This record gives sequence, C-alpha cells and structure tokens, in this order.
Amino acid sequence: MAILNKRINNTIRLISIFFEAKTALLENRTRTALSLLGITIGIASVSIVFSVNDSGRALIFKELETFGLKSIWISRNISQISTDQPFYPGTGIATEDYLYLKNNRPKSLRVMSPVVTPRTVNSVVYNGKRLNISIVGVDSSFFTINNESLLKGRFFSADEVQRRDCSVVLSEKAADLLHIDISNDTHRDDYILVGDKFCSLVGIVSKKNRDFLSSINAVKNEPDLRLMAPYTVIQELNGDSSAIGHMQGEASSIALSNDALHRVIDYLTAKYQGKYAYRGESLKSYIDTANNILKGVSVMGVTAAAISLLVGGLAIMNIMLISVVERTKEIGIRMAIGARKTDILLQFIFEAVLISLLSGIFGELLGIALIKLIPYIFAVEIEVSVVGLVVSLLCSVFIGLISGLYPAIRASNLTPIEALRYE
Amino acid sequence: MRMDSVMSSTGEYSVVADDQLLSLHNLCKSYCLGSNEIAVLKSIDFALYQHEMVSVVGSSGSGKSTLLGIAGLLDDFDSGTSIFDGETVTSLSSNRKAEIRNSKIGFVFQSFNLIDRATTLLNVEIPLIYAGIGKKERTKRAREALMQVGLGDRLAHYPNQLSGGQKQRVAIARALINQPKILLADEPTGSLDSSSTSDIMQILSSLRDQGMAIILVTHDQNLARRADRGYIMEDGYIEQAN
Repeated sequence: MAILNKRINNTIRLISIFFEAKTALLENRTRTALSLLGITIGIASVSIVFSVNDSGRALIFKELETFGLKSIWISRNISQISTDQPFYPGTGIATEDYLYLKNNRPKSLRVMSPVVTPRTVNSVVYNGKRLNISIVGVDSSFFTINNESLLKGRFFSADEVQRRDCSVVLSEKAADLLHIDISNDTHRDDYILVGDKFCSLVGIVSKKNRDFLSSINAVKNEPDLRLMAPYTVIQELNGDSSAIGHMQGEASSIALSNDALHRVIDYLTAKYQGKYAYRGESLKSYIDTANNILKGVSVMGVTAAAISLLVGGLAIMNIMLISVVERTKEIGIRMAIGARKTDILLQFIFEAVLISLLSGIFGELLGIALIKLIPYIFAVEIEVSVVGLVVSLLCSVFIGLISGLYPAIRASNLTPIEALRYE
Repeated sequence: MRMDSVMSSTGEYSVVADDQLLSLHNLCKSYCLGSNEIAVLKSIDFALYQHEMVSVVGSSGSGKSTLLGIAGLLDDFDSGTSIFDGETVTSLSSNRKAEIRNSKIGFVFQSFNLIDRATTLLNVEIPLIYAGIGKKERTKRAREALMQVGLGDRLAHYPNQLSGGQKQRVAIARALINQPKILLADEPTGSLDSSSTSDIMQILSSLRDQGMAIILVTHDQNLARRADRGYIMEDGYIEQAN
C-alpha cells in the first residue's frame, strides 16, 4: 500500500512538474520563439524529404508497373556478333523455342509470351477510316505480363491464338480516333482490317501513363496507338510461321528476373550453338536505379535536415543553459522546499522537450504548407507522408531530450545553499 | 526532560532527549577562499526541542546563517554530528534530505525567496507538488494557508505586486503548508518596517504557542528576547545566552 501510494505520489509529481515547465516557457515567449527556429526548419525539411521520397517512389513505381515490374525481355543481340563468324540472318527465336520454353519453363519464370511485329503492315482500317498504328502479335498471356487493364470487352484467349482467329485488342486512344463508341457494344459485328485480314475487335485497354519516366528519358513512352493481335495471325501476315521478334516474360519475382533471363538465354544459346547472341533486359535494373536515386535524394535531404536540427538542438541547449543560470536562485528555492535532484532535472528536460516538440509541430505545419505549394511550382503532386510526420515528431522529442540533458544535469547538480545564495 | 543514551551511526554515544528535534555536536565548517581556509563554524553545540522558540543572535559574518543552512539540511559540514529528528544527517542521501526539507522543515528567509514568476497561490503550492499531492488538494490547502496569514484576497497576485510584509506572510504560508516540525527563520524581519515586523513576530509567536519548534536567527536583541532560549554566535563560536 505504501509503495502504491509512493508511486501515485511520484506520478502526480511528474505531471505537476511537467505543467510547471509549460508555464516557464510562456514566461519567455520571445526567447522561446527564437530558439524554435532551427528545429522548425529542420523538421520541416524532414517532413518534406519523407513526402517527396514517398511520392516520388509512388510515382516512379506506378509508371514502372505499366511494364509489369517482373517483366523480362529476350531478343537477339545483333551488335554482339564477332566479325570472324559468318552472319546468320533471322530473329534467333523460333516458335518452337517459345513453345518449348512455355512448356519447360524454369522455376524463376512464371509465364512468357512471344512478341511478333508485322513486316509490312503498319496501319488498320475500320469503317472506311485508316489509322497508322503500332501492331504487335502476342500470346494471350501477354496481357497479364504487360500489366494491361481492360477498359471494355475482353482479351483474346489461348484458343483463339491457336485457331489463328483474328481477334484484336485496341488501345483507348486508337479506339477513340477510329470513332469506336466505347460506351456501347455496337462494334461487335464490325471488322477491323489488319493487312488483308478481317479481325474482330474484342477489347479495349486503357492508356498507360509513363509521362514522368519518359520526361526524364528513363523509358520510352508507351505508344498511344496500339493494336494487339494473336501472334499466330501476325506470323501468317508475315508469311513466316516460325520467326518471333522477341519474347516478353514475367519472372516469379523481381529478384529472380536475372535468373529467368539467364536460363532462357542459356537455353537459346545452347540450342543454336553460338550462332546467335542474345540480349536480356528486365525492370530490375530500373527499379534498382530508381531506388538508388530516391535514396540519394533522401540522404541529401536528411543531411540538410540533420544540420539544421543540430543547429536547432544547440540553440535549445544554449537557451536552456542561460535559463539555468538565470533561475539559479529559483532552483535553490525549490531545493530548499523539497525538490529532489531528479525533480529539477526533469523540470529542465521537460522544458527542452516542450520547446523542441513545439518547434517540431511548427516545422510539420511549415512542411505541409510547402508540400501543398509544390504542385504550383513543379508539375508534380506530392502527398504528405504520415510516416514522415511521425518520424519528425519523434526526432524533435529526441533532440529536446538530448539538448536539454546537459543543462538539466547542471541545474540538478547545484547545491541547495549555493543556488539559494546566488544573486 | 528525559535523557536517553543512543548510539549514533558514527559509533559514538550521544545523549538525545526524546523530544529533541535537532542536535548539533562539535560541528565544524570552513570555506576555502582561494588557498585560504576560513573556519566559519567552530565546534558548535546546539539543540532544539519540541515546542520551543530558540533565537540565534550574532553580528553579520558570525556564522549564524551558515548554521541555519546546516540545521536545515541545505548545507554540508566538515566534521561533528547533526541529528535531525532521530536521523543522523551525514548518512542521509540527497533525496532523503530533500524529503525531510519538504515534510519536516519550513524556511523563512530575509529576502523572502519567493518565485517571482509564480502567483502567490502557486508559490505556496510548490512544496505540495514535491510532496506528490494532487492539484485539487494543493489548491485547497494553499488557499487555506494564505487565508490564515491574512492574504486570502491576494491569491492571483505575483510577488512583485505585494509589500514586503505580505511577501513574508506568503513565505510563511509556504513554509507551513506541509505542517513541518521545525520552522527555520533567517532574519525574517530584516527587510521589513516596524509594523510588518511586529505582524510577522506575532505570527511566529502564535505558531510557537501552537507547538511549532522555531529557530529564529536575528541580529536584533529585542526580537531575540521573545524566544524561550537564546544562543549567541560570534566569530564562529556559539554559546547559550542566559
């Protein structure tokens, strides 16, 4: 019971000392306000860095996702042929290779599709209207690999690919230019003429946004005008049922993309006994680069923030040291009427933490205000990072603790009689 | 007065009366001023019993304030023993000393020693904060204490809005708030005019009548005469007055 009472007493002490610290700060408003500045700026930059980082990551990954983050590309590498070897024409990938890999795929490869481009056809006709368009022949698996999203209708099926049915999928913009009314199904019986083939339109996919990545030349923007048809149909158009331009696959995970690439390339190299060289690409290197750039931005931002936080912390320490000297007499009085060393210690630490926390809150408000201003200056939308806000608040509390500690220890180590006699 | 022989923590036998609150025995203290050591207290023997007012008279620099600081557990000493309410002071932790100052000792100083940025009410409340008493109870008791010293209408005033006599009454209210056993008054009227002086002395006398033990340090012989017993200090030595 006595112990419990003591504990309750200590809690009440703690709370009361805390509230006293608050009143002490209000005493010296101007000085307190000035010492807030460093931390305010530091915390503002911490919240901005976090938000820019988060939003930048979200933006970059949203655009990278339009490729399918786990996508890999395999094609013949013509530039890597040695001059002392005879040149073998061809794409280096045959339909049978694709079918073999499809049926005997390595564990690291989840799914794959061939990509065949027509040799001569580069436009389609619909309802008497001709439109230049980029045409690819793919398997039904391509839609998931390439992260396509349907606006209307469906993708073509594996059966249709096998039957060489000419069922095609158009991009949104192409459908728009061909005056296909997306809102109703009247185009069902209409035909799109691809080369000499009458094809039925089965679906429309939405536009892929790669504006940011293409604006920094990181990737090529997806053509707005696309038509996807079964690769078997395009091969027929080409008059070559064997050649495949390149293959696009999906690795089991981003980390396994290189493994999947190597296995496919190893198979092809072995099969053609060095006649062809191959090039493999995956998004992994892009993702790593993006992560590195974001990390670099963060490190720079955090360094700048850390400097102002350090300066801010020193300002608080300075203000607290002055406060300890000014209030030496008060400390003596408090000790005379029963304050323990820890009571004095806590009082000054509370004060420092309160100053720092207050600046932290101001800093966050400033940070949020600046983040809201960014869209008016640059053409990017930045979301306020909640994690950033929490981290910066914790930061400010921590700085308060650290910078208050030394002054507080000095205050609590005063001897009562000397403090009391101080004038 | 019944005398008992008890063993102090230093292993010496000392004679302690059961109603003795404070006993200083053979106590010495010196300050270092540069390379010079100046003895301020020389072999002090001093005792305070319950329900008595004891005066300590001496000229300035005689060491009486230092003595009061030691008696009030604010200051250390070099040798000798100090037994406060049965506890040997040299063996106490700084926390325990703070606790004793909080619960058993009330201080009244010549310069009042109020906290300027706190209201009258808060000044009186502060000892209760360190005693761990809740806000409601604190306010209630502080208000009562201020009413007792006739300042019930000055609760929200700040010290600089009060006269010297009023400030000293706030200080007395603060000293008494935790119902201490001893009141230590260091020249409590030293900064006051004659009418305030008699007010304050009136309060001290009535406190003594209510059973409080009081040490009154003063250089004023007239005030000292109001005490039950007196000590005289000179050049670091102390002796009982007749």
